[in-house]
Amino acid sequence: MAQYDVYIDEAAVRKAERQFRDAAKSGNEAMGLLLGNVFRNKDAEFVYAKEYITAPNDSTSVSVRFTRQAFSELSGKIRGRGIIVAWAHSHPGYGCFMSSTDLATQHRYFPEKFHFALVMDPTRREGSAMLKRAFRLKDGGYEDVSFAVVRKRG
Amino acid sequence: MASGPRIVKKDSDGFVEISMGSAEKALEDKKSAAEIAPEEVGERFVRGELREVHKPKIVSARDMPHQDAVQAHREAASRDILPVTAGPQNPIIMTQDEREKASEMARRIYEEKETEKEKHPVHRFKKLLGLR
Ligand SMILES: [Zn+2]
Repeated sequence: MAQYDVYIDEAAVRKAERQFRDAAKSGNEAMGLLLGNVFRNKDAEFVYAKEYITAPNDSTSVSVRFTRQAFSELSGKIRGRGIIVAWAHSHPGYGCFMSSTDLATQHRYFPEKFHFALVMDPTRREGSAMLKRAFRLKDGGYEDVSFAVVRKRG
Repeated sequence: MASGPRIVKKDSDGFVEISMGSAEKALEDKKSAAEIAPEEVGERFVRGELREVHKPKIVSARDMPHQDAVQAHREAASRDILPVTAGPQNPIIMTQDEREKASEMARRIYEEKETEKEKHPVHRFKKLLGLR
């Protein structure tokens, strides 16, 4: 149990992948939020991200942010559906890592120990899946955390 | 369990500010926002098929000398991924120029893929029929 720090529902991951792939067609980054909860089994704590939500992005090839109009749309989507456990964004063509801007965003908006950042590169694959990594703040920098994408049974 | 989060409008740069319901309350109580209580669950809580998994080969490199840690992180990152994750002590900082180059490359890759697709007979047939 809790062999991984983070579990992400497969449908949520695929939704993000679709958005990232579409944005990458015009060379753009995209982002969204992962909703879920924090759980514990015995002494192991883990996060289960169950849903991916997004809103119109105001993105260029090198930065991404939500548009103003997206705020209300997003808060409407979030209400009563768990807590924000992560943000996800794409790095079309430049691999998975946390840039200095990403680290600043993480510190500013996602500072809790359960918060993570999911970064994907829609132009690269690992096995048969889109390349992705999950990161968390650690010691003034960040660390790569373990994750599993879960396909729910039944 | 935590109460619902809220998104509040952010400054002129247009970025969202996210406020965790419980964190906000905790702040009022002058308590740490990190006190979101995890829900205790059973052994078989995460049921399902694990489709993709990733475990960092090195979880903590804190006890290593700095150079070794950086080297270890680079080796631990997937070999075909560039740039690699350099690790907490040494986050990779891409220059604006490098990122633009990378995204230009991504755009080209997709353009090529699209062109390939359009050359496909099925696509041409569909176009002929006005299906796309
Ligand atoms: Zn980034």
